[in-house]
Amino acid sequence: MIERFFATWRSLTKSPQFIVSMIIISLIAALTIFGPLVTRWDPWMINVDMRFAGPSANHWLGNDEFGRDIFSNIVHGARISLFVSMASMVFASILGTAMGMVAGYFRGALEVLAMRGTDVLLSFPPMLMAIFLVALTGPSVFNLVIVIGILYTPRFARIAHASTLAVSEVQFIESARAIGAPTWFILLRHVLPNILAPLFVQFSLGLGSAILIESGLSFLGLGPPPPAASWGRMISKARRFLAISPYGVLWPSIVISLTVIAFNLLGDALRDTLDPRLRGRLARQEK
Amino acid sequence: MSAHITRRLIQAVLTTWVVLSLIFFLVHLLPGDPALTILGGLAGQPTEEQIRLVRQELGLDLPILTQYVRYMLNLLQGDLGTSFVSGRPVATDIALRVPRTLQIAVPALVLATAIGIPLGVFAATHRGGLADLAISTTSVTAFSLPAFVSGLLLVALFSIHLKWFPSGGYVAPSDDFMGFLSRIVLPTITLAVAPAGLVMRMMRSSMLEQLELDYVTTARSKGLAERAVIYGHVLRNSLIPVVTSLGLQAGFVFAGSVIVENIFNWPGVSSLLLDSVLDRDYPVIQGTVLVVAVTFILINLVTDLTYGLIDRRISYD
Repeated sequence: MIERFFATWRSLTKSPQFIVSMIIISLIAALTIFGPLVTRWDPWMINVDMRFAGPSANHWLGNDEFGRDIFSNIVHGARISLFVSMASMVFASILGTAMGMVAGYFRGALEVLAMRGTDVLLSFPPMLMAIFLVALTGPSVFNLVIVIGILYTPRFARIAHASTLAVSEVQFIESARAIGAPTWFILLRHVLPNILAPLFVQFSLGLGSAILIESGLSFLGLGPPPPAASWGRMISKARRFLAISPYGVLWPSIVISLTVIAFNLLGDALRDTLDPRLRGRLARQEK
Repeated sequence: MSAHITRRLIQAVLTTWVVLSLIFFLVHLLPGDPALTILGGLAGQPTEEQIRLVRQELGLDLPILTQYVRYMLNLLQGDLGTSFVSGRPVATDIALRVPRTLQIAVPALVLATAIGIPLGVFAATHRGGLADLAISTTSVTAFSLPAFVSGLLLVALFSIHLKWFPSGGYVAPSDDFMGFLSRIVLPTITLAVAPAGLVMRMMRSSMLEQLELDYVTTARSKGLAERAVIYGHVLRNSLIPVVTSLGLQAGFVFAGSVIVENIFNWPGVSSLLLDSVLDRDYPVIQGTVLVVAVTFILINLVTDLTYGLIDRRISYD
């Protein structure tokens, strides 16, 4: 098990996509964790004299329409954006994997119900569904996590279902059942470790999509309410002043784009390393 | 084949019904009182009596199942209800807005395909080279870029800085065709970015997959020129998954159109949805979500059925 882990790690570190994504993710993580220690500015401190000021030694990325420090705002926004995407994927992966495994292992009516349900959810574009659900439940960090989580649950469920079906046919499952291992034990100890690889890939790609949805909703005014200033919200406010000063739009745009690119690259690298045969299968499932 | 079509049709009808019911119950069971919204929310300080009257007028005081049956019966007659805000029939508004969204969505899909396929082919035929690296990087960047980032970038460059195109607004093509054309350029490009990246990547990987198959070796060993192998055999087969991913691409274009219509002040169906969400205009929310969802179910159905037509090797049943 440990050997396999090291082998995977070694081939991962040979992948340029993995290296690039790790550099970006480390930078963003450092920004989120150490940013508040580095910056001297309160993200909400208004300074009229510094309205639309460009980058300077004091304010590294410049100031926004109220003269607030853009760097501190990005650092602050990182926590919201990253928390929402991380939490929603944890939610989606746990729920989806459980659903898919149960459906794939027990089969029968349960399977039909669960898989038809995922088909229905997948027939919507996630962004549309997100707008609709956030409109009904009201925008808050908690609701965003739940909504994005529910929208991505079917993806995990489908993958877990297909992999569980394949694994359940293998003999060691049969043997485990024969010696009287309890079902929950078989599922957790024997099935789960064998279906993890494609789920990791989906998790990484999902993080990128979740950031896109969260920032998109925030951009449209449906994100977490003030004072929470996520990246999308920063851009949505700064765009009105695009002709006066580009910095309020520019910096958060760069940070969002880099973050999403990093998660997508990481997903690609994981996919190539963990299971090269997966490529075709995942591409088909995304349809 | 015909059994397959029938099965898929029944499935599509069932999915549509489930989706419609889901939308109905979500709207009615989740918190938030439309009557209160109509009366201006809590700030409007409506009296109990006013709320009761509005609820009665809208039929909201009836049992939920009665409302459901009523809603379904109205739907069957093409009646989507009346907007709380404008007072116009929802169906009329949607019929006005859908073509406007298509005016930017269809060119965007065409543009994405026109850029994505040749670049994907080029990357696959030059695998491992600098061009491949450049194209692959472009493709990941393209579908990772949020629509508001690419949109605002284009506005900053082409309308604020260079002043080539207006930064937004709608002009009907029948009123001023040149004005219309100059206004669809930026939204169309913005919408095309993400799907172009996806098409590029799918085309590349699908072609690489095909190039490893036995028939390619056969074709080469019988002395066929490389050009003939690639364009005569490989290209045609590798186009199949790309063409049938239309449903996926349409999803990307729609997700983008919500943001693009907002950036460019384009009054299409996505901005109707967003406005109705912000106004809590329930009939309009319900109507637009429904129309879009049904469109998607139809696109997926058509994609599924054309699969067999494009690729004769696939047989159903």
